[in-house]
Amino acid sequence: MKVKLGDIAQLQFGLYTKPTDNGNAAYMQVKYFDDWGNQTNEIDTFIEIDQKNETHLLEDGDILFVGKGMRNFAWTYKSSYGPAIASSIFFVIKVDQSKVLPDFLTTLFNTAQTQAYFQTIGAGSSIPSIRKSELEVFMIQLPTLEMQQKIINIQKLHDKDMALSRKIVTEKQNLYQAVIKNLIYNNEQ
Amino acid sequence: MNNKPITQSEINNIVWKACDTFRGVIDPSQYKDYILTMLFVKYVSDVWKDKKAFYSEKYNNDEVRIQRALNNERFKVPETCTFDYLFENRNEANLGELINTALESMEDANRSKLERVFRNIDFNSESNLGQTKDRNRRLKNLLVDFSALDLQPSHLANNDVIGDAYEYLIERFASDAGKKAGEFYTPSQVSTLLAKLLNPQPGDRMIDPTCGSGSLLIKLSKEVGSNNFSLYGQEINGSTWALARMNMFLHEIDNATIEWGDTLNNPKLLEGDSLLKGNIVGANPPFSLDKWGADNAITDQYTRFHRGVPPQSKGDYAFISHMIASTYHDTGRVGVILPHGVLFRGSSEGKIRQQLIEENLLEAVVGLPANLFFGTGIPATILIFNRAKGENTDVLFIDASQGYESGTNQNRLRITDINKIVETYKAFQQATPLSTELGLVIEDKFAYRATLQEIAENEYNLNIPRYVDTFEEEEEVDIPATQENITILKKELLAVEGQMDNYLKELGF
Repeated sequence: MKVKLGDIAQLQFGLYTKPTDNGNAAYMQVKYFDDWGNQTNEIDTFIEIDQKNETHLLEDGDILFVGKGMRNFAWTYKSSYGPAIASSIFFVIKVDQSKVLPDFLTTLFNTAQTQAYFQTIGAGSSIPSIRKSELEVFMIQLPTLEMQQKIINIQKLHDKDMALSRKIVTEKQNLYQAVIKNLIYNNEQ
Repeated sequence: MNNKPITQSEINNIVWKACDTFRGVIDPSQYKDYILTMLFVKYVSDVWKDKKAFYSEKYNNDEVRIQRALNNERFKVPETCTFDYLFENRNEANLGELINTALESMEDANRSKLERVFRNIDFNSESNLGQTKDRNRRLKNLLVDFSALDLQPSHLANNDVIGDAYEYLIERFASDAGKKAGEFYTPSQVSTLLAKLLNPQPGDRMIDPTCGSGSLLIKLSKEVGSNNFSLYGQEINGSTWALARMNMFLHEIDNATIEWGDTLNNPKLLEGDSLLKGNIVGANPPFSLDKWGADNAITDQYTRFHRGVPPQSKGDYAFISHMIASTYHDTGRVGVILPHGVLFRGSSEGKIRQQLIEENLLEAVVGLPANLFFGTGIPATILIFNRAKGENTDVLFIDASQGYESGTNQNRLRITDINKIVETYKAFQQATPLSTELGLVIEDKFAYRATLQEIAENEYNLNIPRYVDTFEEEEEVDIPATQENITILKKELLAVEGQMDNYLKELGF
């Protein structure tokens, strides 16, 4: 089944504000993520929640999607993360969870095919940026909820696989350096 | 009238604002001269006004007595040279010419002090300030901006405020204009460090053969702690030389001798037929100056290059040789800021370096952090030479490369960084020389006391890592634990891969 993104989700812009060093909600910026939507850096910008900005507080399952620049990755917000607000560089996508699972949409957004497509619709003289109207008509191939869940599971397993593989490489490097050093310097007598 | 003393930052702000008049129109390296000259005129005029008011009151408006008293002042300011006069005429069509004439008369009235100081500046220059209409508008803006500034000594917290505003601008221009204007300025903390290392004493004669706008000389004078000193400088760039002159007057150092010319090819600081000698010679010469005049060096009439002629394309050791030749032979000290290459480059430079060390002149080598200077990221080093090392043949090595505060464009030395270096140096001077062949670690990864033998064994290579061990030891790796960890990770990976396989099978792959 093919649907328009706008038919299964609401799109909002993130909040433009000047963050502070402390506050009770994290202010999510692009710099905290790598190109695949993994959070990499410690959050160090915050916002004090008040009446004006509380409507921007992220809800469980909101998808942050970078609308500007060369890296259009997506990330799913989970309420276990704690209170957070997205910066204005993000689109905040609130999906109808009876039709689409947020993690599925995030996985879909982060595939090479979708990424290539976003690069083509980006407009702007120096920084390509995607218009809200264009994003709303983005056609999504929507499998059944069951299939979506399976895709999510595969994606989670893949992430785990990659993380473990990276750890193994690092540990093997450490081991190699230590063994060589040992052989050269500890056997000199 | 507001009698609250003006603060440094108020002055700095007004002056910096005045620069807006010129910004974008002409190059900062040029408009700095206009701004700084006008600041000088304003200062001298205001001091004059202040004194005039003082004497008028003192002598009950007796014109003759007032004039007589004013004639003994530091600067004489004829009526048509005052800032107020220029300000009154700010709408004249020939404003540029009026200012030029005023500067000429000011020079005439103060021959001994201001001779040639305004020679490089032309307020009527079409190429610098635009066509008549534009030019007049800019000059008027300049006068209006400065009119807001009251520099009468009676309104100032202390007179140094002006000199420091001058320094502030010079520093701002250096960072603003990038490399071009950066040539005439050593960052303030670096000259402070050098001045403290050289530790001048009352009565000292201090020389900077490449003095730029004179900030190192001023820093040195401040270290003395009294007015009992004499300053000598030489600068090759005409307009920077003029700045140095004005800078001295603004800091109320009226008897400094600042000469204009090429130090290596035409030293102007002379006593009779030989070089002028001082207790302290400090400088930040241009790094690795090309075409410094090697051709004339062999026949140098002051025999500065008897240890050898430095390479044609790198003048570093030429400046060192000149500086050492400019010190008193029994007590003189030299502090010079140069690129790291002077520590290890071979051929003629290597030979000169070896001789300097064998003559027991080199006292300390300080490696500075990278990115301290305007317009160049390369790390610099400070070499200290001392004629009075006596029995002590050891050389102090300090690796200060890690002690700094990082800034957006430039790194900065903090007061604590400066103090640490200076204290280490002083402690080194007071300690008993080593009697062993091997040197001594003074502070791990920071300071080392090297012996002459050691330096000789290193073939007179002074590269700092040879003396100060800066290798960061990696954390000890527990080999069996790591092996075990890898086994566990592999098992986990295997499990994940198994799950994935099942999934894929289930999905028909």
